[in-house]
Amino acid sequence: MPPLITSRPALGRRDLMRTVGTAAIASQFLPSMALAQSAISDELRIANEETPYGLDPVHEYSAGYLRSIGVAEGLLRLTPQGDVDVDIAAWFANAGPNAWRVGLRPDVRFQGGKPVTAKEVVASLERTRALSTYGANLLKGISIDAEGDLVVRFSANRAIPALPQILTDEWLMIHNAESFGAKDNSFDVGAADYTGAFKVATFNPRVQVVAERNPKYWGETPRIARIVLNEVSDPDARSLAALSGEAHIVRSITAESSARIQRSRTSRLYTIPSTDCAAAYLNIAKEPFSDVRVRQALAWSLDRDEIVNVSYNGLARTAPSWLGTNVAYPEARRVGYTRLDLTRAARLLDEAGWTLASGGKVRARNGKPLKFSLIWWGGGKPTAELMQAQWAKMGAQVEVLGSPDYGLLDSLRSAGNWDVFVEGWGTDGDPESVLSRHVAADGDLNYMKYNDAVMTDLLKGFETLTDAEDRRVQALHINQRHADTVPFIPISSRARLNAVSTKVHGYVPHFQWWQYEVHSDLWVSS
Amino acid sequence: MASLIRASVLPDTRQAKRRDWSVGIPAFMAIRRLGIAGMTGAAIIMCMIVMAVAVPLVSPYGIAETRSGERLREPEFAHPFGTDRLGRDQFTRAAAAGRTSLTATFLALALSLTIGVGLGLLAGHAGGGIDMVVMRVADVIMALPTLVLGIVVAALFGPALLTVVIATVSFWWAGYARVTRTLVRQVRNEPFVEASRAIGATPWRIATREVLPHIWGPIIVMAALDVGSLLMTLSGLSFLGLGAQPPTPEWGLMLADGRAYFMDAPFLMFFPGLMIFLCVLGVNLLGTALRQRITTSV
Amino acid sequence: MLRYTITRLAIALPVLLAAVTASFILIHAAPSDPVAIMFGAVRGGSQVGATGTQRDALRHELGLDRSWPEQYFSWVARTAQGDLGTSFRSRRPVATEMGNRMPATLSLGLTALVVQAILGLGLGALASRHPGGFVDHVTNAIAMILVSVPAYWLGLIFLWTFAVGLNWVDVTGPPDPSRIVLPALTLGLVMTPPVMRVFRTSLIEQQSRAHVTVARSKGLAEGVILFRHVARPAILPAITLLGISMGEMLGGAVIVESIFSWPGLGKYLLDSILARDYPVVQGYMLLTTFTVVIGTLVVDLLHGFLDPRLRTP
Repeated sequence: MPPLITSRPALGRRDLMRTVGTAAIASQFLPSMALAQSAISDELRIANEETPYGLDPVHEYSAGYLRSIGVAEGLLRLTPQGDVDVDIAAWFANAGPNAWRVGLRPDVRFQGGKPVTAKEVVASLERTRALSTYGANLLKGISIDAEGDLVVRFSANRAIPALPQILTDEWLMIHNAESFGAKDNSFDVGAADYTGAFKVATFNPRVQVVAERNPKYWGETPRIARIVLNEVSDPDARSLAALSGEAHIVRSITAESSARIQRSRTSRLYTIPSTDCAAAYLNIAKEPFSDVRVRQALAWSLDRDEIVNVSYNGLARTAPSWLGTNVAYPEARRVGYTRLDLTRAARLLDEAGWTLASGGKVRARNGKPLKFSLIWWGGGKPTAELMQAQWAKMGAQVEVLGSPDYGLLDSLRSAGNWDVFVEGWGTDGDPESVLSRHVAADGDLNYMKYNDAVMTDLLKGFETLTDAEDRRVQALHINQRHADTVPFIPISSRARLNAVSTKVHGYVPHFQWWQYEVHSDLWVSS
Repeated sequence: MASLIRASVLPDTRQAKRRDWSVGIPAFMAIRRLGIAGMTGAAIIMCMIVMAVAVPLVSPYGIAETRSGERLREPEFAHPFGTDRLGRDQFTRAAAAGRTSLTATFLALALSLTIGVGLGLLAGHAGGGIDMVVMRVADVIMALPTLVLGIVVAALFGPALLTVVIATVSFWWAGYARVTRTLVRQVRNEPFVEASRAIGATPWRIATREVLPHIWGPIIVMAALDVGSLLMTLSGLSFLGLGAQPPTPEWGLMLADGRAYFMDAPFLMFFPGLMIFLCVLGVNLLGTALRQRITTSV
Repeated sequence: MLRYTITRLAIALPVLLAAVTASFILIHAAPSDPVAIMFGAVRGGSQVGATGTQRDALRHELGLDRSWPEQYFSWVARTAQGDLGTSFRSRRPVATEMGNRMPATLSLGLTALVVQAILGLGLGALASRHPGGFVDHVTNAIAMILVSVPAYWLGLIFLWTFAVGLNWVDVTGPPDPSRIVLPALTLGLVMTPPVMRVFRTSLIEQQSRAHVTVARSKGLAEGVILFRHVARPAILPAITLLGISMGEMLGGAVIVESIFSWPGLGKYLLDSILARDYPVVQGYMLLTTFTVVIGTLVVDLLHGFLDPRLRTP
């Protein structure tokens, strides 16, 4: 498609406003004004909800952002289709049940010039293990050794079939350990030595990162000379930035403003296929949720299509079962709560003893009404309100409670003082580690203390399975058991929407936000 | 401090020759003596009250009635204020919100007055140590950032309309306490109070029978002028998500809900804000007229 | 006067300490803690979370496992030496974080102050020329409307009209002069009425004072009279009010800052409270209470200086 020629609005009025404003404030703003006016045609401007807190991959909330703009790279990466592929590495192969070998490309260099040998890779990964909690957890029990200059060996005393996937994680970026030093070194631009196509030029934590083309890049030289990543935390401001062309790529567009972007001629809306599942977690230790029939009834009485339409403008996918939104498990869409079934729900509730008095609106059992509270936080309010209305049709009286304060939910949860809350978590990655977080008896995300013998057996079954396809099938069994016992009710995925200017060419959306949006084939017309 | 500034805001175009605080019960019964501004204010308030009471009763739509087919409709005859993302009629909700918001405002006002005037009377009469303590506590309260207070109280008690009422009362009483205490100190050396003391009346009796009737004029005026900013504070906290919860209609909450759609459906945030504005305007007009009545009637 | 100053100072210090202590207790009383929020669903997250032991280790590192009194006294001791601590989230000094955002908030506050001053003093002067006249009534009406408008509503309307509808103003980007106009206007407009009213009243008062009559009878030019004998003394209460409202504006700017994406202290504070970033919140509370107490002190001293009657305690 030929690039659209769009013109910016007349500058006259903007100049007027600028003059008025300049009269009020002194020269401290002049430098930034100059910056905004010198438009470079091979500059890519990205607006994100958040920008890096630091430049060191061991620092919280840093690594992913740097990777997403092509500054940092890992050994392996995930393709948009979900397969593991090489990045800095040249090949990777199984070396027995408990080991993998990864071969490096001989021409990879750090941005400062130093060649990346196996020793450097080991140093980088060990530094991450030592200085960051997530890194340590990812590499737990895995020994990393250099075999010569170009091969790295990963071994453990247990089977590690998921190692390639682990190596694609945002926390395991290969960086120059010597340059960063023995402690978290996040604010020294000079120390930030990675392998990517772009090198950090300026860094203002939580405000802006400017990265410039790395002349020593081992791969194909990118066509973009400069990337400016700005933090715009207000969702409306982001949408406006996309519409006005201030930013070429804008992430996390809200569903409410998506309609406008869809109608725009200068900006395209991309729905990022996400694999996360927003679900209603039920406190199964308490009545009425201790009865599985009640849980199933509530799951049958949710109109997921309506929720997707109202909360996400139709841009998310319904989740009939837990893994139903994950593209790696297409079978999961035919399992579980595939449609709205109020009659079945009514029958289940009646069976469980929660009956409707004639002419009544709320079900009751032994005089106790079917009443519970639903906690939301962050952006979950529209869904919560809709669920409240939908469950009211089933005879449940739902009280909605929430605030932007996550701490409130956390404190209520720790005290056991909750009935239902809505939260979303991703399902991509190695099935054993990801799924067990929620449904293993000791899982850290098993808020409801779910303990099911069949599920425990299924999770144990992973231990003997090393083939990726076998593991996938096992995950589907777990998914089925989950649908039968429904400790939490899957609702839908959440819409991940990016707005990309029509001036940007070669954009390929990726389901993991930190994987390459910026790659060598991307270019911007002026 | 906000309330003090607001109380001093509204101009009286007829200059008061002398601030006479020793007015008896304010004569605001005769509405027609309030002047054009006052009557406008009263009219606005009457309209809001009628709307708040009547509309939910006669409207064909429920407050929480979601209609998927009618989402985000622009204002039209069937839906004068449009519909929101769940298809709920905004006109009905805005009217019902009047009830919620105004009830909360008056509750907060009543509580603040009780606590503030009570403590002010105590401080003014007792003098000395108690006076110092109460006034310093009031200073401290007024020094705390109100937003932080609101968020923390919401975190402690869970977000609800009652929570923001409590949060607001916890710093609003200080203004009244200060003013009451100053007034009490001005009055306590007057002959009639001395006389009461001389015949052995208990401090409680003096406070309620002699002092209070003399000073409650300006306090009532201050309270009347405060209703506006109190309403805005409560709505502001609800706007941030710390107050009323769905599906309760409340203007601040409706503003917050509408904000997400401000590009495509700006009417969603226009009307709740308009309601707040009209309410506050009406109350302020009435309050100013009241003050003129009280201060110029000698 | 000296005794008065000392008395006011002696009162101000305990108030400051009490306010700061109250803030500390408040923010720590809010349930949950920063570590829980760091590893919660807010972040989405990696393939593996953090174990209980790791969370406890982080709590220990941040000093959260100490008792409240311990945390309090160590914070007071450090603050007295000028060290405001380190933000839990960004691991940078609180002073740096606040310092980075301070210019944006200050410039917004100052610009709003300018708006307030120009409009308030201007309208007040206009109204005082003929008290009770048409212009006076019109300015009263304007004041009445401005005082009834919620700032957050006005801000949203401005944003929609000028940024979306007319596209005159950018919505994102660095704190640019062109971007400051709308938020400053929003804040300034709603706080104009008090200044207007006070200036008008004091101008009218001054006009009828004896020294003005004397000046007139001396035959001085009207302009000179107005400026030197009327406006100069009349402006003092207005300036006091402007000073007080500057302090208020810093607090009230939170919502306006978030509506206009103005990278100031307000939004940062809101985020810090939600993330339970205690050092930042405590630092901010200290700053605001300090400002308010000092401000009150200065106003008290000024009034004591001007009006000897107030000096008797």
